[in-house]
Amino acid sequence: MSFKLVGLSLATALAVTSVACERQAPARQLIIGEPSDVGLIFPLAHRNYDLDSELRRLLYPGLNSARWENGRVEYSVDDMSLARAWEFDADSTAITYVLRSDAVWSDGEAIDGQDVVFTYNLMRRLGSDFPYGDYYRAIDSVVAREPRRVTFFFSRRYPQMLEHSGYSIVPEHVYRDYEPTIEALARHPALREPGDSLVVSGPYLVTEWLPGERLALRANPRFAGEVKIENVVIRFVPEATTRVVELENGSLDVVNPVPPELLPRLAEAQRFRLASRGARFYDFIAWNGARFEPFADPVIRRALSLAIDRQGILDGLQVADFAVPAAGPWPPIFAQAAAESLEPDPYLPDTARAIFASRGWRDTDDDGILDRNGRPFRFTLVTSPGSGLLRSSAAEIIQAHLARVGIDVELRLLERSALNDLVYFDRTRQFQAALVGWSSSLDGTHVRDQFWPPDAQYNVTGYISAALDTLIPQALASTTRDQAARYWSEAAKVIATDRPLAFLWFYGEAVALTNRVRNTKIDTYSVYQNLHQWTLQP
Amino acid sequence: MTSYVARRLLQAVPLLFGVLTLVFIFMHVAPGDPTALYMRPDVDPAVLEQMRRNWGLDQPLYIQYFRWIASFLTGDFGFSLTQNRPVSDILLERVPNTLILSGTSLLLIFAIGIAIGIVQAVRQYSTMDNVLTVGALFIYSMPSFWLGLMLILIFAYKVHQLDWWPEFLKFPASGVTSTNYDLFGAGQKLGDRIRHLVLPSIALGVSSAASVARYMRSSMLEVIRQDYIRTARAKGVPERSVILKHALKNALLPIITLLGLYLPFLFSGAVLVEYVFSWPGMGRTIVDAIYQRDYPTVMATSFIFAALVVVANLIADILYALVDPRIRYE
Repeated sequence: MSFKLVGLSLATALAVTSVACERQAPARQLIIGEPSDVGLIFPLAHRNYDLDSELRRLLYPGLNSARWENGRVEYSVDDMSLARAWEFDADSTAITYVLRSDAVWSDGEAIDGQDVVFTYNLMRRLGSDFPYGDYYRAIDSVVAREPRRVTFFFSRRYPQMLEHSGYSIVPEHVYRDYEPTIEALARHPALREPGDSLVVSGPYLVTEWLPGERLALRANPRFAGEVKIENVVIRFVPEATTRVVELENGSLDVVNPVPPELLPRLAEAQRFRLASRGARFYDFIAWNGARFEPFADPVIRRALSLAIDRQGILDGLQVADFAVPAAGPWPPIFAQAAAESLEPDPYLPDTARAIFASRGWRDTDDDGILDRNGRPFRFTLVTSPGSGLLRSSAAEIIQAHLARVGIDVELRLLERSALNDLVYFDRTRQFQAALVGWSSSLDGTHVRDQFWPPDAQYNVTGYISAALDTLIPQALASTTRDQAARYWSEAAKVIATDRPLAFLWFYGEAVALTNRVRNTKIDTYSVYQNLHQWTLQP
Repeated sequence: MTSYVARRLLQAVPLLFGVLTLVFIFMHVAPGDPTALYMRPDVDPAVLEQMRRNWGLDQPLYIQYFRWIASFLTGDFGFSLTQNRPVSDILLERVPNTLILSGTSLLLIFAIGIAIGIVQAVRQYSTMDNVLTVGALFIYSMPSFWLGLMLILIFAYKVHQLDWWPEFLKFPASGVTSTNYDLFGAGQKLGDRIRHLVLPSIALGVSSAASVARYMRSSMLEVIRQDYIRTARAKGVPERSVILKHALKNALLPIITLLGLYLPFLFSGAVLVEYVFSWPGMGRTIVDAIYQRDYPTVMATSFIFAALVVVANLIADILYALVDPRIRYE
């Protein structure tokens, strides 16, 4: 009897699941796999997550449209911008935007200058709830003298004026009655359960958000431009292997990003293509001279750099196609970097040994480890597994490379938050050496952020340079992007020579797509910048 | 019985507070900072400091603790520091998913474990008994995380490349439902949910099923050597009835106590399995929250986990009394 019951139950379950197998795939639906969920779908509640930025730009375009071209960000007006033109005033300290007459919110309300004024005022009023103060700090006021003309008055002329005036705009008529805190705004019904009631202005509407599972988008019928793919579903699949398996079994059309260890596997497959986002990230070893005295000597830092075989590591980890050895903090995505082409340190272990010897580091007790005044050349290198370009594996190889020249490295793996705390947040810098990474800004300002002034939060080695004391203020005072870029580039060369860090490699994240996805424009600036123009082959 | 349940629930209160206090201390003394999510060079460190002040993280630990307890006792789980949403909203979405997954796994554990245990006991020392013993030990020693990845590679990838493999045995690798779930009819929706449950519930439950099988085998062996079983056989009762009607009931008694043991095990296993299968349950929520140092979410999720374990243990004790008339609770 019981066995019959079990058999009957199994048969029923199989029948039910079989029915589900005969499902109809809706036409023109693109399915994307992303590792993490989105936060509150509100542009001013923006976290430092790629998907948050992408969705912000996709659902809430700004006044101008940005793209990566010729080694820098270029601004323009197109169907992804709310303005149709802009002009600088005579002394270039104000920009007036002319809004498009066909730009409307998804609920049919016209988009006007008051929405822009409201958005920028809200940024200020949110205080630390909107931590990206650069977007409004240099803006004295935003004024809408006519419904379709809005003027930004800046405190001075500077290179990022178009970027800062191009932030996503939110609808005033929807949010004006809410207290200016993210906690209060998060209680708005449309944000709490986004669906058709979420008012946006971009090419897609949010039709469904199942937190932790997926976000469904549908073409916005009120969007001024053409939308080629009617339905887009973004699925949140945290485990990288699962994400790639789902691409391979046809459950996903796009995977962003592909982890480095799975790139070789996908690169060989004919059914997919990999789109590189450009080598914007760099991994490095920070030598903390305050905690291990030999690192304070630039000659020793050069010898350490010469003892690391960068290309050999990239080859060994099978990621040589997706990364290049680094010479400094100026990644090859920038036009100036391509023109100046700094050479990374070559692998010269014998030279490194000679340099160590010239500084008094010799293996006097034949234990295979260099020593000076009875003290061995031994330090701890911290890093975190599962981040960057296979950092923990790279750290093991670097440990072996340094052992060849007589340096004893103890590896310590920390969870990412703990590592960030140790290296970046704890200003007492309780580490000797750290293998970590950095993402370069798109305008060169990361050179300041990471290396100047000596007591800056992210200048983790306390690097001091008289040359930077001159160059960086000049870069910050520049009025144009070209002028600033020259100073940033000069500063990067100084840093590359001083080697406060051992720059290891530049790399970029890669996006995997099935061949049926066409007309994509994926670059270092954005993955989904022209999502509405993507097409799906049958 | 009612007074017993009430007393057990009251006894659980200090236990839950103890668990929460420990989780609170561990989370706050661990290195890391929730503002890391907003850390970018163009974000002024002073702004990050202001965020910490807004969140009360600049206060001494005991003040943070009492503040949290005070709001918790009023039913306010707080606001997620990283998702920018009320934690109660997050829990309402995630708790049912974890209960569905754990419940299915629990059914699987006992259904498979009991069935295999019976077969092994009835055919003691046979080839089948030996094969099942080795198989059970093999499965028992597999970590659920690894088993999950293997199941995905085989049943959500490799078999998709085989034309002859039945379509209904090709399973999705992740998620709770298909992306076009809303287009399905009622039957298809149910089927779709079951299909999505198959691999994660196997990954979560199969190793425990192997262990239940071992318990069931020894319990059954003990029972079928009893005099009343011999008497039943002597009276000519068919062997199937002897096993399934007379022996099974008594052999199940010790197995029921395992329910209370396996639920915590399932909840802890769910932490990894939900991550592998992109199952939006509490396990995945707590992993993300721990990585991001989202203290209110970690605290609330820990509380729910602890409360579920307490309730599960209580249910196991009550069930034991219900099935065994010799047990009396006072």
